[in-house]
Amino acid sequence: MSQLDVESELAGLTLFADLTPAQLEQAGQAFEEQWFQPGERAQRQGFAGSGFHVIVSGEAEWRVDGQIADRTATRLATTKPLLLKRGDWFGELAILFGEPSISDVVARVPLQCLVLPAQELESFLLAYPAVMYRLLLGEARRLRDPQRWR
Amino acid sequence: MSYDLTRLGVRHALISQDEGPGGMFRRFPLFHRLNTSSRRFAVVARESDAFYRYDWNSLYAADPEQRALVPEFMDGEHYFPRRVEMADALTAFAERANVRGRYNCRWESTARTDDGFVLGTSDGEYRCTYAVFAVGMSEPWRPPNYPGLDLVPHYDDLPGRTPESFTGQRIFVIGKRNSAFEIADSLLPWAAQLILGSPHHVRPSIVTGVPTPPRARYLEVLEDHCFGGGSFVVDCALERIERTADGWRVHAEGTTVPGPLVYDVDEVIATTGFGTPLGDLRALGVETFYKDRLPTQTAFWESTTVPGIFFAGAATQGQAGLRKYGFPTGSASVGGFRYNARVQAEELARRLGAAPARPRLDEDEVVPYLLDQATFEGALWRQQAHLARVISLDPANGIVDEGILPLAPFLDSSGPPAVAVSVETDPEGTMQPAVYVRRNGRVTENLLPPAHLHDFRTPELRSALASVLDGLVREPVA
Repeated sequence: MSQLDVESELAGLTLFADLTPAQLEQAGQAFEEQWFQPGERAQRQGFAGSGFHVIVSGEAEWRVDGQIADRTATRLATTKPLLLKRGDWFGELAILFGEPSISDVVARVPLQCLVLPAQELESFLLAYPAVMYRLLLGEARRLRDPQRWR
Repeated sequence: MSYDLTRLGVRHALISQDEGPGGMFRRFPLFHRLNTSSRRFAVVARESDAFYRYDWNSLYAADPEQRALVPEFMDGEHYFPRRVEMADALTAFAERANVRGRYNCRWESTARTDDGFVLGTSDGEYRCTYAVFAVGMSEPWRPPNYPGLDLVPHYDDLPGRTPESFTGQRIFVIGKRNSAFEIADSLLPWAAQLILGSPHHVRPSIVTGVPTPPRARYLEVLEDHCFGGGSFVVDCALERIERTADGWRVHAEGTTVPGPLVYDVDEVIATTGFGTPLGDLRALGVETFYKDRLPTQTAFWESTTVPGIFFAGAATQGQAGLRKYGFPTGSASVGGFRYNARVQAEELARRLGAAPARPRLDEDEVVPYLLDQATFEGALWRQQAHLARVISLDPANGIVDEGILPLAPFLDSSGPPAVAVSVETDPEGTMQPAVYVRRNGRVTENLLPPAHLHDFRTPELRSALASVLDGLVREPVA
């Protein structure tokens, strides 16, 4: 995909499904597009300052201490990697807790993300409560069954 | 880039469709000063390497006589140089550093060969192993989905217009980024009414702490809006633009405050940004992003999809780096991309077998050297969390200064022990050295404390850094 229209992409993602066209355009300006090559880390374990990433295309996997991990980093070396795909997000926990990331997120194929700077997440969610609600639903789903949260 | 390639002994050709050095700085009609600053005086000597930290516009030179040329040409009225001063400094740099280019030579086509590329130009063909495109972000760009937007002039389409030619006009400027405020700033003394409209609420650089949002020097228009002086800075999503009998009608939808908005004005100017003029490179396979405006690039600014095609200059902002805390690279302006050019030239030299020998350090030099770098090295300050000073600490090979390198590949590398230092700004605006240490094949992050007046050469930081490097280098003798 070479001509990403950020507003159109946001409109197609569940997380932003409740926003009006004008809100989508405004929200779209808060995000930056970022590309990662296969094998590149989009989030680095133990490092501060990573943003809130929403995947537009591609696939990525969680790694903890270099090993494939599940979403909650409690089960290492699962036989089947849990993949992050279009519409998934990552980075929110490190931002909400104000801590370094607890895992790597590694691109398996070319990975395209929309990225919100860490310090912008709180004001963004407060400005768009409908996005916050869908984010909450997603977090609850991941908590309910970390092995099957997709 | 040509200067650095020459310095490294890499045979190359420099071509440009401009008539001479600094073409773009002689072209834009409405603004007369840059938005990147150059101090004329700093706490270090102007001819020193460290002066570049305070001079965002001069090209980098190893020879002290070729350094800091922009301040030399500035008249002292302002610390943002006039664009003619910038152009004159670039011309002087080319003359003094003997940078030879073929001007009035237009790149027209690109083809792959077995061992590189053939560039078709208005002066014939050039064959090369690697092609570096320093073509700027200079192509006017408009978002495609707004009826009528194609009818109004772009920021770049105002040849022959002077600020005076807008006397008494009501003007709608589409956009609220630097170029919008830049235009508005130049029109404020002449226009009857200025309206700036875009979806996002303005958060200027002095609020965000990063230099990409509207810069403080353009904010008179925002202040005029706040004080009810006749300018308006509106949060709205454009819907369409219509021609009327005596001007234009702009239809929009409020974003921060929802609702329809209609503006009748005499002039509309689209400051919707620029793209990279890629010519036929997309057809060659060069992948793009950012609405097709920038090529996707590796850490060394090489196309991710067409190896051997490199980008330099403002197009290098397509390599976003780490964006720690959302802080962008400085690659949109000379102050940042001049360092990318040095790094890239050395990478090209390395690939061509002409890499220069790297200097060695004694063990007790490492800590003070890194703190000195964090205090004064312009590459670390202008390319925060993007470029770093890297020192390898391989017991088998000794301590080697590997130079300024992109930080991201270092973080993802394995190999012998090494250390990289960068300068970073956190969300609270604290500027501090960040030290990345590679041991046992893994890299860890270590943020050092900030320091008074950003001078990191203190006993406290020396002790902190020595502790971080414990076991790799010995503590220096005081």
